[in-house]
Amino acid sequence: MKSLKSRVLEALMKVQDPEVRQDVVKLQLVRDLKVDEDTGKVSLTFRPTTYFCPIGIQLALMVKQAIKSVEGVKEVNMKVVDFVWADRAMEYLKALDEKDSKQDEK
Amino acid sequence: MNAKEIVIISGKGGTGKTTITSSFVWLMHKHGEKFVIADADVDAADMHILLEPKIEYEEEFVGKSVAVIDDAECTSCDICRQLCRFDAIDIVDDTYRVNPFKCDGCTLCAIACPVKAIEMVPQVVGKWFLSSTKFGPMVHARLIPGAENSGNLVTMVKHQAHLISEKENIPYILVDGPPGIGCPVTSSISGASFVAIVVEPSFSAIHDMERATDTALHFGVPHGIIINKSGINPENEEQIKEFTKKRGIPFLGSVPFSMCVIDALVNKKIAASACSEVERKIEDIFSRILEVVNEKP
Repeated sequence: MKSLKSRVLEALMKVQDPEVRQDVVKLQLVRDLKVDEDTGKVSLTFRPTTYFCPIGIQLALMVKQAIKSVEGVKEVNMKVVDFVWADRAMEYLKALDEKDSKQDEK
Repeated sequence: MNAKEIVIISGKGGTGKTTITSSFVWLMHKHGEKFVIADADVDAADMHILLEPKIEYEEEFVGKSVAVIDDAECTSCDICRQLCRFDAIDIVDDTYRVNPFKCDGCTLCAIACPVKAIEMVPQVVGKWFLSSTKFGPMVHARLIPGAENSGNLVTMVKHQAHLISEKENIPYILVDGPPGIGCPVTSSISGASFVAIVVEPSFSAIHDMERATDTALHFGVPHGIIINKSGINPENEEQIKEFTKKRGIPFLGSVPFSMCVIDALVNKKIAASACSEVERKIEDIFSRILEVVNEKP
């Protein structure tokens, strides 16, 4: 079976920036990707192509959702940088975790 | 490290953006500074004429998708033609055809087609290039005539310039911006450290300078004004200076109208490299820009 990191990268390669129509890995929008193969913990930094990226928040959410969808991933710590609405993006990412944990409880 | 990004725009075309930007390139190189050059005027890129880049890598740029009808599947039900609010679907020789220039890529026809004979196909709208010049690395692009998505292509050009600056630890990016105040301009100034607005003392240039200034202000990007072709209309120059005072915008300086600059451009030379008077003026202006840019952390 492929390593967890390989599968995370494969999932990320399916996330396209709709403005420039390339995936976030090729565009190097995902940085410092660390995947713990034993615990399933993933950490990364995300930056959109441009400071005022109009779809930066959506793209950040898509990145996190793509990683969370990979079997074996237990936790995703994601930081958004170099983006005008980075704080807001972080709030949405936190809300995504809260929504997922509520669904898990159900 | 995030490179400091200096963008040159104008509002009106033909005020001398590329003349000034190429002179900045020449001066920075002369002083041994490292920088990436980005030509964001993708609709009518022309920095390459002066800088003569050697293309190292090129890639097609894919823009919006347009509808394509499969003749073999189409039943001529006419639903797509009736629904298309862009009048992009015509009947030509009894077959349904999509005019790609009219198609907005909304996908309504593809959704509505009862036999799924319509596919949305991404279109190549241009190319971008990573090049080397004797002054430093350069990113530039070329939009296909009539194609859309120039703002997105500018985003790609600037993104690639930032990737080079990060990889090679280069502290500055010089961006030759497009004219106007639309999508490619907003993409050009997005995230910039400083925007220099080049104006000539003509009525239309002043009008467009005000709009370009409002655009920079809207995005909260520090900006200043450069008068190019100074001397052709002193009254209008005063009006420009008054405007900067009234708005509290830094006036960065004037570059004189000079036959030497025209001769330089006719002979494919960078103005600052060929005209000493102009070189001094542009050097003063650029020093002021660097002061502002390097003040910020």
